[in-house]
Amino acid sequence: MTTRYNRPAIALHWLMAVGLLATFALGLYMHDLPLSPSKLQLYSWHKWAGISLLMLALLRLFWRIICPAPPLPSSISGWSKFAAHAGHILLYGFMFAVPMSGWLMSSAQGFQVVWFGTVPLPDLVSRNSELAAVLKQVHMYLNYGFLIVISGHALVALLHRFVKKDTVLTRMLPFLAKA
Amino acid sequence: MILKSAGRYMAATALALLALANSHAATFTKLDTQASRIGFGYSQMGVSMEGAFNTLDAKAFSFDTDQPQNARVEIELPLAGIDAGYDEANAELAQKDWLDTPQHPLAGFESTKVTPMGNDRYEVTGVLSIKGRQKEVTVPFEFKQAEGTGIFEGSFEIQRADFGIGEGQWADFGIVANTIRIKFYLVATP
Repeated sequence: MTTRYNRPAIALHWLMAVGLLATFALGLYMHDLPLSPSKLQLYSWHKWAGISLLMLALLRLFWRIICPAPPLPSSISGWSKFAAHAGHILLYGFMFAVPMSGWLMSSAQGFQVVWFGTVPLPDLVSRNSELAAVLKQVHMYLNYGFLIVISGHALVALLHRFVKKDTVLTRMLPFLAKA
Repeated sequence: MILKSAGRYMAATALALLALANSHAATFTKLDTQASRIGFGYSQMGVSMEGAFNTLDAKAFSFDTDQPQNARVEIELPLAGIDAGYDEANAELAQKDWLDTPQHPLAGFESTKVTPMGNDRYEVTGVLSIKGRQKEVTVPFEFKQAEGTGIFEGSFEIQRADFGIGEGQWADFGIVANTIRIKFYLVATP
């Protein structure tokens, strides 16, 4: 029985971790800027990254279904197992909800999302300034929620590695051949 | 029998007259500024955007369906009410690098020639003035009549660089594309 995540799962995990944090930082920085050519560029890159991450999340979910994650070590208690599964479900939830909320907001604001400036994506809602204001708040709160859960996720992984000294973190590391 | 055919004859004549009344022979001299619209399409970072102007006026308007080649139009477009689709853009458009609306509050088009192209299609040639610059343009449009009004609809492209629209840091066409499509739907009454 396998005790490590498979290589595609590991790749997608770290690719998305870097991508999500970079896109989050970009969003945090860009939204208060005064209008300028740079601002338009940053907004576009943020949306292109967001849609790419949404596609990766879909791929990742699909991959996890066909190649399930390894079972948790037997040293993990029942309650911890429940918390771990709940946390991961939350993380997947945010991986979809955050970019979807951004896409919805962009549509409501009247900016069609055009992936990499070449693939126009359909407007999920029609232009509506009240809805746009609501979705802006939704996108913001989802992002902060995601950041909180990611922080908890990272903290617990580190606790497992350095306090409990089990394999929970190491099985997701790309550079360790052994569990 | 004679009465019957007389009745049919009258009906046929009435229909013919009605048809004539709805087709041609009208001169339109007044622009309906409420029903008319001028809008524009532009692209930023590959995203197509739509904008519009909230008022327009015609200093001259004359279109005689029997003599379309003698038609004249002089449009005056106040730029203060421009709506490019979002507030930040509208505020930016008034600036010096863009339309510089405090210095150039009006854009205008004055026709010099109208050419019938057949099939209710025409081309109007004239001078387009924006931000203190003039350029001759030829604009295709379609004409139709509806309930006594004349409708003139068409669109044409301008290159914003020709008018200095979006200068300085905005000159990069990779951010805001050079091509702007101007669309108009003008309604006129006799």
